Amino acid sequence: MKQFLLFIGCFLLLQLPGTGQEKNRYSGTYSLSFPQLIQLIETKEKIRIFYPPGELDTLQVLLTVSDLTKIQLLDQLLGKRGWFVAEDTDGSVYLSKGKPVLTQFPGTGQAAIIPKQPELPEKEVLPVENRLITIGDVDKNPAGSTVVLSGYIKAASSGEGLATAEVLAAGKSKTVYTDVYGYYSIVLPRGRYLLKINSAGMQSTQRQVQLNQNGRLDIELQEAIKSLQAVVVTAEKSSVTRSLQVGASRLNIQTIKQVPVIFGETDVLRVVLSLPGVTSVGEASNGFNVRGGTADQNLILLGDATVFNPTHLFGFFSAFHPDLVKQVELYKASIPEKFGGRLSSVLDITLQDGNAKKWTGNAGIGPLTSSLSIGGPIKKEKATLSLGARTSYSNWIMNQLPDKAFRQSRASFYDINLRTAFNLNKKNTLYLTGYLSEDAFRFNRDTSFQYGNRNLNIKWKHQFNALLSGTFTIGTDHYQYQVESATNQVNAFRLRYAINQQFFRSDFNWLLNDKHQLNAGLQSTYYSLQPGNYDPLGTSSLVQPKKLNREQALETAIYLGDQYRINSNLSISAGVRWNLFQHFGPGTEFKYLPGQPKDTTTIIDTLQYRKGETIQRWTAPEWRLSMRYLLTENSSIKASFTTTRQFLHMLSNTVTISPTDIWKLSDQHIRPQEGWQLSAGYYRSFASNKWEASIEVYFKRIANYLDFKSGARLLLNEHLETDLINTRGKAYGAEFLLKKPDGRLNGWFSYTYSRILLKQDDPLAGELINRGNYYPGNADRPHNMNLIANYRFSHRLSLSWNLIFTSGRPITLPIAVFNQGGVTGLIYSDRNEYRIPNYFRSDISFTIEGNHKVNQRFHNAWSVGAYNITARENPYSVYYVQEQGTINGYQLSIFGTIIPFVSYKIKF
Amino acid sequence: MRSSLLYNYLLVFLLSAMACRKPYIAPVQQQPNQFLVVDGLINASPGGVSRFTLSFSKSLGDTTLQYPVNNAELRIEGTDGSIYRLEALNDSGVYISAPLQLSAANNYRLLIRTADNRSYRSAFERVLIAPEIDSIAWEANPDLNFFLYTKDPSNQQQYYRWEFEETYQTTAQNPSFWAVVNGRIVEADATNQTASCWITDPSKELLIGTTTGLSSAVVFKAPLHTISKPDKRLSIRYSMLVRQYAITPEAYRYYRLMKQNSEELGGIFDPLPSQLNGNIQSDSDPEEPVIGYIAVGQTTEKRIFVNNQELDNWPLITTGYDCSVRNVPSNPTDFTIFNYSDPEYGFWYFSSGQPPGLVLSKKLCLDCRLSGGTNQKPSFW
Repeated sequence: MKQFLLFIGCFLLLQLPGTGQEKNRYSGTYSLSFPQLIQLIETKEKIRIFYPPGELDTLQVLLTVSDLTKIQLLDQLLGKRGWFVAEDTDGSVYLSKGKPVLTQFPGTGQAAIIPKQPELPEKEVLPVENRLITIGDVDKNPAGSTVVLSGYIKAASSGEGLATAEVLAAGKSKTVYTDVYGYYSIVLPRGRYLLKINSAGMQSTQRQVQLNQNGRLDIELQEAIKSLQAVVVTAEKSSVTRSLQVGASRLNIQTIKQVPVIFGETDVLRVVLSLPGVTSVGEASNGFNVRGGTADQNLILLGDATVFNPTHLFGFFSAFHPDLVKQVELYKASIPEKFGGRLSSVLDITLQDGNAKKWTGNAGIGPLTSSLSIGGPIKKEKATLSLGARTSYSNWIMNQLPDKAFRQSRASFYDINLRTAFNLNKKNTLYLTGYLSEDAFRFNRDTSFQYGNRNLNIKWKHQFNALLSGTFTIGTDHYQYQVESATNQVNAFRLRYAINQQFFRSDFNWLLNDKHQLNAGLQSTYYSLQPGNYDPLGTSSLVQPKKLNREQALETAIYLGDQYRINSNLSISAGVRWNLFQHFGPGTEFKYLPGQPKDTTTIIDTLQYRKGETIQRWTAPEWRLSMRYLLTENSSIKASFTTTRQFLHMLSNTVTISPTDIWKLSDQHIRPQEGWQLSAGYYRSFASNKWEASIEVYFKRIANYLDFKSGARLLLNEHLETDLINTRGKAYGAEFLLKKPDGRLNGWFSYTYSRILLKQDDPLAGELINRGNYYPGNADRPHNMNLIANYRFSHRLSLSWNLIFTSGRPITLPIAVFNQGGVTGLIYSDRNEYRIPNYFRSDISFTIEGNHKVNQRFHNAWSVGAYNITARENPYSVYYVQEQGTINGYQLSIFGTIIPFVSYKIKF
Repeated sequence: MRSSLLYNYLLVFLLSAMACRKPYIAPVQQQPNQFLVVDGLINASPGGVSRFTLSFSKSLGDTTLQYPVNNAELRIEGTDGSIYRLEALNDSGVYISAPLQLSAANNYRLLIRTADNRSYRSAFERVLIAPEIDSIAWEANPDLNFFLYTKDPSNQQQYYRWEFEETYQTTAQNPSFWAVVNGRIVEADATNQTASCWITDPSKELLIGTTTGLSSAVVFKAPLHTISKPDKRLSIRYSMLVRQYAITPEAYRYYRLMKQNSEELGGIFDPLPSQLNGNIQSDSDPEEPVIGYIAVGQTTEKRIFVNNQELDNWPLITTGYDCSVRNVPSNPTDFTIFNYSDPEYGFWYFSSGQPPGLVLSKKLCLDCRLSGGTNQKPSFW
């Protein structure tokens, strides 16, 4: 049987029908067949309804109304379908298609025809925005009690939940935001409210509600279809002034896609780099640095999966398929209690669920990669699938190169994302997320690198009741790399490294009452590291196989947080996250002479631990405190204090992170990295929220920040502690941001002044660095300026432009030459005493979209642009080499020229 | 057009170091950056002479050849209390000991007191005895590559350092059988011939190797040196003397760092430069950087020869001077008398006639020593 799902207006109210409504009035949600509806009305009002059999008999009704008469109800249901509703003086109702039934003779008495204009049916009914929606029975609750309204905010086109949509109760100045699934819950005193709903990229809407009892209101938002008129900015309140978080940034994928990037490939991480407080050590660098932290101090979550290496091609591309990304949130200061395990920041990348209503897709062709993504309902309204893949075709290009060494080289990568969501019922949703990426390189036939991420997790979201929800996630994250070299047959080797983690996370969100919202959870991660397998390659290799002991540990955390709304202006959030990190056997630990630097010469004992025996236990609380005070409707001040700990460390003694860097667990000798951060800011919005501005300042202290002794050996080292030193650090800075979130012209400008200074002054820890004085960390780039601007000339042509200026990265320069045994050597300055020249770059891109007919099957867009339009040769590094006995200095630029690009995208 | 754009992308990608590098002009440095540099080995071979060179480092742009440290007092001290003084050899900062008999049972160190009364000492190091070098091999394809093979039968020595010295024969562009002694032309002998010279140069590369990670202490085909074809060193005959040092893991670490710091920096994935800490310390200021790693040991040596004929058509490369010739009549009384007024010119050969004429050539073309080297044939040649 052909089933119709009928939506009236663009909203859906799910409430039991028939509660507390007047006689012959209809409110609530109706989900039944049309004959059943007719029967219901006929029974209730004791009248007859006449209609021709056929089409209407198979109509399935899904309808939400409030306070309508039967005529209004039927008209709302059928008007759009070209049916007319007429009532005669007896109350009998006549339904007819094409033209109305005349229930009285013309000219005699009143015409009882409901006037009907089929081409404009919506005009007839009161727009949903102006209708009063009554929730619950007015008599059930005493006046003054509080009630909870909850539900989902969804996109009308795809049915997907809209994250961080704003639900504002006007008059009460109470605002809540939806979670990543689009779910919101708001606690309000009983009464009548105007709810205003805003979400980026969506038309804003409002609802009049009479809240009597706890209830549910789901709201669908229409996409802000680009009209030829300027888009009216309707955002009522700027979220940045109202949220409780300090140092949090949120980018949705539309914003990310506008920023011009190298080779025309939308790159999530490069846009994150343009946020205040985020820097990188270089243009082709894996990872990013947040407020002076190292790249490994960022927790990168892709749909709950921890991604250990977020880049492709040694750092030129980020490993996230942009068509699968919904939004990106970066927490720099107040990190929610549910996140832990990293010192500096959390980058939470939310994945796009498949379209719940129809199959859609994107395809893109760029100079180096092709991408494809599809998404749609596996089962209508119940289960969605979203699948994306990207691959490079650089191998083909390399085969065309004239140089033989190139032709014999290989560089390729791919990534695959999978996301499925199953709406089991209104209370239960199940998500399955998978991610696979791989990079392979081969240089000149005999040396090859390969690395890849593999992640899989299942998440169950359960709504216990309107106030309490929980998510339960289990998953596995894996990263591995392999290096093979056969340049010399006797030394030919294969080196393999792998990190695995299995995790279970349970997170609860409990809206206690109007004042308190609690977050709590228990999380556990089991780490298993294979720190190095070194094997001979080929039969003539004399390489002795070497296998470092596997390392394993369990990190368990419980957390509890409370968002407490003291009054309409002041809110605080206080939380604690308690960690227990256990490093356990089997394993071998060395014991060193107490009071002496750890060195191979001071090893006094070797301790063996059995399987499961605890080698080392670290436990401590992390505090998460923040407050917000609304100064006016449009401005606020906030402050936060956050402490963090990190038990998993990446060790890299190169300028950038290389794919072959290793991760190491905290153990008896390597203490957890610890840090605290004090942060405060002033936020304000101007010109009816068309502009947002903020100033944030912070001060940070870091302890047990790992640095290396000179000439440290990191790979295949059983006693890494002898090559590592703990340093202490301090970081401080001020970040200014001016943002225009919407409009013909949109974008942002940010300026950051920041420092990160480290110190190693403990002679027992090994050598002093710079005689124990503070020295700049590698991410110390004091001035940092970013401008990102998008301007829409017309519906189909838009221009994006960005401008980046940063201070040069600190470097250690050679200051003197000496001659030893005929060999010229170099003496270097203090660590990071000098800087490479400043960095400046500007990029531009035009996007030309095909026509915008809404019903067209394919939409296409060309993107044309140029990276580094000033062709400035920005030095990535400065180095000295010995060439025929003389020492020559060079500066290395990675993209030292204009790089034009063209890319083509199809949306279907 | 499109494909060339793609090439550009890839070049940028993979050879970024080559594609976009340009000379860097460092910020001006004011301080002199003079640090003490000690170079040498406490030679534990029976009857071995220990030789040390003391110098100061210089700033990067400084064109002065060397800053020798003269008038210093040097002593070798053993853990048994034995002390051996070193004497200055010349005023270029070189100090040598008498032939010594050091015992492998002791550890030794070097003590230095400079003329301005600053004292330094190296750490006590044990005596390391290098195994014999197995062989030095070469391959020409078409560049000439030298490789070293060695093994320690006792599997003890896992860390090595090598130095080599290359000696090659050159010839004058206009070789003469004659020499002029006290104004008279005489037949040249081995002591005053100027047609053949031998040039000896020390290696300029730091060569280290380790066998750690291998199941036996075998160094297999360690690359020593490469000479690109063509090269004047292979014009006639070439010899390489390789000296093998067994070193401690700490010394290996020091040299590896020194090598990294000067040869391997700047690639995207290359390690950061780091502080070079040897085993010498200033007594007065422990923070003062002192360069050098003083090891104690016995070295082994091996020499090989490569003749031009063994190679595939390596050409004879001459200096390429303008070798114009002048003909002058000889002294009518005694044709062996030579007193030509232009000092740039010398006697090449007699032209036939009665009395014979003298054929002169520029001295640069007659005397190979003017292009470097000695005219004394080395004993090993």
